[in-house]
Formats: sequence, C-alpha cells, structure tokens
Amino acid sequence: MNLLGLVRRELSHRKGQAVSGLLAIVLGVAVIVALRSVTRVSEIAVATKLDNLGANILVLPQGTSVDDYRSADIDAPTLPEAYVERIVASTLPGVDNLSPKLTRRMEVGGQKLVVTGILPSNELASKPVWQLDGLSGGAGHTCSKDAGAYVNPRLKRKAVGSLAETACLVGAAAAARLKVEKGGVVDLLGTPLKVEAVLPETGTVDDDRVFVHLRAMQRLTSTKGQVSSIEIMGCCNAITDGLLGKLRNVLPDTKITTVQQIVATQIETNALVKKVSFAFLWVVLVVGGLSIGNSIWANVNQRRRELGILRLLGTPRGGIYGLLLGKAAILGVLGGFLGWVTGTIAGSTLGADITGLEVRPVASLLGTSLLVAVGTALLGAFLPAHLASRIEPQADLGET
Amino acid sequence: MAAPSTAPRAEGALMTLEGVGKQYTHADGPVDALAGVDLVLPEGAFVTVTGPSGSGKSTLLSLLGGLTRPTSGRIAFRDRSLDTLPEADLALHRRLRLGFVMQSFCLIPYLTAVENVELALALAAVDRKARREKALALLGQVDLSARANHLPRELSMGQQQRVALARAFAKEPLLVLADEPTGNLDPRLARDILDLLERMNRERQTAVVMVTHSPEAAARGTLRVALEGGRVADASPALRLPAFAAR
Repeated sequence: MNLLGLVRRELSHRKGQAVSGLLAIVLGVAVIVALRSVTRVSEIAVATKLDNLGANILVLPQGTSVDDYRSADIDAPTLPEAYVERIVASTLPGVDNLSPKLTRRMEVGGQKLVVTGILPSNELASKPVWQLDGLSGGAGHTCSKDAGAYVNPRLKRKAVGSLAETACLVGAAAAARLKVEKGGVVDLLGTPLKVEAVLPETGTVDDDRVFVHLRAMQRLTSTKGQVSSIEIMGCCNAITDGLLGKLRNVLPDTKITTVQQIVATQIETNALVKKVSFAFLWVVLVVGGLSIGNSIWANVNQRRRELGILRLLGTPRGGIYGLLLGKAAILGVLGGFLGWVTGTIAGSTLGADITGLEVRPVASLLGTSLLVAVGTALLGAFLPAHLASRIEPQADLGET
Repeated sequence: MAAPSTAPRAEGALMTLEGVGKQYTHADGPVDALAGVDLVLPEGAFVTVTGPSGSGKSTLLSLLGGLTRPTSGRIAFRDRSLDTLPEADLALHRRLRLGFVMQSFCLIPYLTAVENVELALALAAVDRKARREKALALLGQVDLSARANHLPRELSMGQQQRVALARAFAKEPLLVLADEPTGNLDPRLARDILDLLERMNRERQTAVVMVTHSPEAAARGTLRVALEGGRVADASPALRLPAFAAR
C-alpha cells in the first residue's frame, strides 16, 4: 500500500464524488476538442471553396483598376511573361498554379467580344467548372497539404492537355451571340479558329469570352512576350499566412490583388474561432479548476480525520500534497481522455452536419486535452492540498 | 533528519521531560494544559497515565508523540531533543519510532485490515513483499488472520482495535502511545486488548504509555503517573527525574 495505491483505493471508495469532480473538466475539454475538430474541418471547407473557385490571386501591371476582380485584366496594360518564370523560380509555398493571360476587346465574327489568350493546361487546371466531357488532360493537384486526409472528389479536376493555336474555346453567351457550336469556325482578325468546345455557363464574364492559345493571341495582337495578367491559384492557408506580401516582394512593380471577400472571410473565421477557442480554454481553466478544487476541498473536509490519521502515522506534509495532487492528476488524466473522446464524437457529428466532410479523430488534440485537464486539475487542487497539509496529526481524532 | 541535538539523558531513559509545560491561547486568556512536568520514561516500561478530564493526559501524550510542541521545558527522546526538531523530522520520528493506538481505532476506512497494518510499514519504507508478510504475521498474533481482507466496517470494535494494535507494533517501534484504547469497548473486549498490550510490551520490550480513565486498565501498568490540573500529582519513583538520576 503506497501513495498511489492509497489514491487509487480512495478514488474507488468515493466514486460518486470523483465523477462529479470530473464532469466539468470532461465537458470543458470536450467543448474545446469539438470546437477544434470543427474548426479544422471548417478551414478545410473554406480552403476547398476557394480552391473550387479557381485562381484567387491576380497579378496585374501597376496602375490597373481592380474594381472587378474578374474583369480587371480586360484592356489592361501588359507586363512581361517572364514574370511567370520569376514566380516559379521563387518557389514560394502555396503557389499551386500559374496562369498567364492576355486579354483584349476585339471584333470576332462581327461581334465585339473579349478574347483571352491562355496557356491551356495552366488555365484550365485553375477552373474546375470547366470540367468538360471530352476535354483531355491530367488530374489537377490539390491545394492543401492536408487535403489527402479530406478526400474531396471536387478537387480532382481535369485540365486540357492541349489547345491548338488554330483553335478556340467559346463561352456560353459568346457562342450564342456568334451562333457557333463545337466544331464550328470563328474569325479573329482575319484568322479562322476552330471551335474546340463551347464552355458551360458559369455566370461570370467568362461566358462572354473567347479563349485562344496565348501564343496565337500574342501573335495576333503583336505583343510577343507580354501578358495582361497572371492568375495564381494560391493555397488558402498560404494566403492568410502572407503569400500576397511575399509575391509583392518577388514582383515589386506589379499590382497583386486577391478575392478579398473570401480571404477576408477566411481570416475573420480563423480569428473568430481562435478567439472562441481561447475563451473556452479560459472557461475550462476557471470552471474546471474550480470544480476540481471544490471537489478536492470537499474531499479534504470529508477526510480530515483520515488525513489526521496519516499525519499521526508520520506522513509528512509533502505526502499529503502528493496524495491530493496525485488524485487531482488522475482525475485530470481521466477527464482529459474522456473529454477528448466526447469532444471528438461531438465534433465528428457536428462537423459532418456543418461541412458535409468527414471528420476523423485528431490524435494531436489528445495530448493537448490531457495537458489542459491535468494542469487545470492540479491548479484547482493546489489550495485544498496546501490547506490539507496543515492539518495537525491529532485533528478530529475525537480523543480525550 | 537534522543532526541530533544534545539533550540531557538519564541512563536507560527512553524519554526525558524537564519542566515541560503547554499553554493554550483562549479567548478568556491563556490556559495551562500542562505545567512543570518532570518525568523519565524508561526503555521498555509499561506506563499508565490517569487523571480526571482536563488534567492534561492527552496533552502529555501529544507531547510524548511529537504531535505538539511544549511552550516551556525540554523533551528528549534518547539523545534527541524533540522540542526543537523540525516538523519533517518529527514526522519521520513518528514514522519510524512510534506507534499509536487511539480510542476511536483510527483505521483508514477504505483499506482492509492487512492494508491498514501494511500502511504503517510502507510509511516506514519496508519493502512491499516483507510488509505483506509482516502485516499478516502481526494480524495472526492478534488472532485476526481470518479477517485480514475485511474492511474496518466489517469488523467488530474489538477487532478494529486489535488491527490498530497490530498496526502500532508492526514496525517494531521503540514506544507505543495508547490513548484510552479500551474506552469504546465492553469490559471483556477491554481485557483482551489490555492483555494484548501487556503481551506485546513484554515480548517485544516496546515501551508503552497508556492514558486511561479506567482503574482496572491503570493497574496493568508497571509504572504509573497521576495528573491533576496539568501537574504530576503522583508518579512511580522510577518515573521521577531526580530519583531516576540518583539510581
């Protein structure tokens, strides 16, 4: 019968009291774990949405108006296509896809339309909505490095392997205006281009565009080596981690913008969740600590006679501390583990409901849960343990 | 443990009390629970302490057990001065050298009989296997082998006090302090306990100091002290400090 044995036997002797002491800490840890689990899923979900949107960073020549993200490149001045290589050479983390474009308003088949020159595999990889039957190409890469753990079929998109310099893709609205279909021919500045495909309606300015190969566009507009914009598909987390600033360092003489609303939402969501998590952490520390402290205090009062006996038998004050803090630590370990299990179950259920994505147990949160729970329990138990260590050996022995 | 301080010691004395007093603070003024007590406790003696309520019996026992410190005078255990010993060393002193038997048995309610005895041995740092064997042997000596795995609430009062006796003698202490050990027992059970105390004292040469109200129990002591109003009213000559010193 050693100190640990004594703690174990006492816990088993007063199970009800131990359970009531555990409740607050279990619930507190569960809330934090559930919140963190859902947050992780939420972050992935936002990243997925951003990813599905396609390119989310736009590099434009300095001085370009960016009132509308999607049409900012129309008739913009040009910048060197070599900037693409400069970005690639910078090996910035979070740059998933680069798409140089040259866009001009032109007369096509007698209609004033916007014509955009693209490098097909790069461009289409960043536009999942263009996943057309019949368009060939490899699977695009996924954005998040964690994405492998959250398999989302929407991220498995195709890119066009090739778009001939004598061919074009026509937006849905443009096709209607030009009255062309797949296989038809449109005339661009006297050059006939075969319609490779009519793109599905997207509800964006892309519907009114005609897409041709960048090289063809540069040749037709006599702007060799120039582009009007570079679209970048940046990882959501990388954007919030300052990717824009890093890009501006690489290309200081350009204007770099992003889909502000989405990134801002992401940043705000992350900040809010962080604040809520911290708030709950404090709630757990205070409520859990008070609960365990109260439980240990009640335990000390209930055990004054027993603690007096232990002191009578020669248990030093440190031994009394050990007895009560040991009990608190055991309750903390139990509370942390049960809280993690409860929070994981709650998080999985809520996460699935909220985001539609599968949430798996986050093992790394177990360590944090145990740490928080044990720390809280020890903090809460310290004062009662200190007071218990002051109990005199003959206290409440009821002798003559 | 702190280095032993020099303390006056009569040859053959286990404990020496010189001018020992204990004063408690009360709202109505200071109360002298014990005053000017000079006593010698010989090694291996069986001493009974009697006196009316409030005469200072339990205070004397607390002082002998290092449970409280005197407000005046000096207390020595062999060569060690107890009144200046730090708290941690007093706890160690109790752990290794003293055994206690109290009126209310003072058993840990959620430990079995054998575990209660083992606890005292564990505190005295006896290794796990030896302490289980020793605890069972002690329970055998107080005729409780069959109840070794019973919780205190499953034992009669006489049996509980026998467990307390086994626990007190388990670590082979130099001194066992008993505070009204028969106070809660009927006469027959009381006689059994006193027989056991006597036997343990005789066989193990462990000194016993027993506080009691009962004249029958007091008669069991080979040496006796009577207290009244916090002072020694009467004491066997062998317990008197000048007489002891003059032997």
